[in-house]
Amino acid sequence: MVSILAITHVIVSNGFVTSGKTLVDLERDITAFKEKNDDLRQQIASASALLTIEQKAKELGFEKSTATVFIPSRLPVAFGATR
Amino acid sequence: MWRVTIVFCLIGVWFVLILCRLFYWQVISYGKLATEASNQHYYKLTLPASRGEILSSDTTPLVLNQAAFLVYAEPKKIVDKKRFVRDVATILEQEEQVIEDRISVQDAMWVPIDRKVDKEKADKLMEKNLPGLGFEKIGKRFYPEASMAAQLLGFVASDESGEDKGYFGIEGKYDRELRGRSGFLVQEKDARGAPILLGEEERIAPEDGRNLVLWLDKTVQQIVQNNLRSGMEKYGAKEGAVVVMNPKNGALLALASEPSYDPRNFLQYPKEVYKNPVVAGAYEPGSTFKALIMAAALNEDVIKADTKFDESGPVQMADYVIRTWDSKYHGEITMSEVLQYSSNVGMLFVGQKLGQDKILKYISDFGFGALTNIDVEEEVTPSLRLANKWLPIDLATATFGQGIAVTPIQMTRAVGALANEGKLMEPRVVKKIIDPKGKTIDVKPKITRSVISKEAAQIITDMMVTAVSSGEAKWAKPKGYQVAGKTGTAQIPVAGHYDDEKTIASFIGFAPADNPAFVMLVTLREPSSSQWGSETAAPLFFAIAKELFVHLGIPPTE
Repeated sequence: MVSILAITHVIVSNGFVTSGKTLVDLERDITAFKEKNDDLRQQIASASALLTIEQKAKELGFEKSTATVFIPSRLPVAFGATR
Repeated sequence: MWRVTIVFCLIGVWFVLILCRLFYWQVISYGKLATEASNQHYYKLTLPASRGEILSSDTTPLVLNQAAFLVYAEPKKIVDKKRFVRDVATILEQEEQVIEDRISVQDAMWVPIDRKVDKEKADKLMEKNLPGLGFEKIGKRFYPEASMAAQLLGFVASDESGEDKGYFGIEGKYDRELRGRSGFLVQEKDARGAPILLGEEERIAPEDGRNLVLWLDKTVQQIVQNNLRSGMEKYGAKEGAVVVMNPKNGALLALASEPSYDPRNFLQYPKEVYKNPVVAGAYEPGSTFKALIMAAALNEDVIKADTKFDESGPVQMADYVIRTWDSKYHGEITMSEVLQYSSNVGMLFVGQKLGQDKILKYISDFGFGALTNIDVEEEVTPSLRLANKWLPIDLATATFGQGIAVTPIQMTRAVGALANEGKLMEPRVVKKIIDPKGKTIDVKPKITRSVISKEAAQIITDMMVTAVSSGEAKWAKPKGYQVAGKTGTAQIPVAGHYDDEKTIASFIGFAPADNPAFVMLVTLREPSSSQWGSETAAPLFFAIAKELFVHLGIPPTE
């Protein structure tokens, strides 16, 4: 019984000790994913920045609206529900 | 016998030598050996904390972090010095001589080459695989909106110990919240360097900095910046500033000033532009101040909107003659018309009705001479004279905004009180603070005090609406909107007297007058096209207001 336990102890301890490398690999992967996420977040922020959108809009020929029409919240009778 | 003595002496000397050697290893070299042993047995790592992000009111980022590197050299490990210098200088875009000087420091084990090197350049250097060149990962600020609101946000630079520190603006004021706390890891490792899970481990997790959500609306900021730049060009102004605040809660929606700087390359700009002139720059408010003195007189019930005053000519005060700005006199006019014509002599009448003690009380109650407590680092306040140091002429000129210095944020806040039923708010830039676990702290609006009654606020609002719709700047007002406002043109004091040509033109107002969504101040320093606020700052104010009405979805009411 003692020898079985001793052997089990050695095997389990050995497993624990050697899994250190796996842990390092996992932590390296986590760091790489975090870096990738940060990169993507930066790219999204740059692409959706007002500055970028304004520039793209100009390139595509959009112009600032000079005549804004406000529609009143109460619709005229002609647009109301028919009976 | 002598042979025994010699052997005995030799053994004694040998014993002393051993003792010396032991002393060397165990005492003198203790520190070095302990470190080497520790390095062999333990895996040590500093776990850096990420600096908090700064977000706009719609939670899109204004300031983020990006990967960057500290590039350093270990001169003793460099194999080919010439190649090292050439490759590093080319990629880092530096002079070869600078790199050579750095790595030629005698007996240096480690020398920094460049800080905050971006990932792209660092990757190129890593590809070169140069012996003696090392990299340490550090954070760097990234600004997706480039230099937007630079003077409000501030920047990050190294302090005396080489650590990142926020300077000016939000970065400076909230440095402790943003910077977080670095952690560290000490773990036993095996011969291959992999951690031993059953071994000793000491880990203190890093605490990332908190994120800040601002009240700043990016679209409003963009509108303000674009208009300010084009307005300064159009009117030939040397400097300019615009502040947009929600008068109901003190939330700062936009703040722009020119000249400004790019926080990515702040070292390339003169230090004078680092400070935000809206909170750290003083100016004489000129006629915009009349609205506040008039509000005080209405609140004290010493005048009414229709109180008559005979504007018959200049008024003599001690050795001085007070005139109207255009030397025109309109005879019998009401208090509304005093504001409309921006009458200096009319304001003398209001000042006399109010009296010295009340004028000083209201100047103080409107927040002048004290910090507004806006949450940016560099706020200052021009001090007011002591009550017993005010001469009658000082009080007289103060009624029309001369001889008194204020900051743009103080002025915006004071007029904001007129738009907020008389309640003076503390200006706020930060709306929420979010910790790394997602816990949110809402920064509540704070009422400093109630300065005037709701009724007095309503009357002064109506008078300011008339001043806009019938005053000098009526041509620029957007059609269909009720805007309460006042123009101002203050001469600039130079070497003890007022310069005849140099002025600070300003316009302050709020809209829509019946339910204000914003209070805005526009100041232009030394405009060359015209020195008058009604011809420079006022049209710029209305150009911005027109765009704000569309963005904020405010329909016309007239």
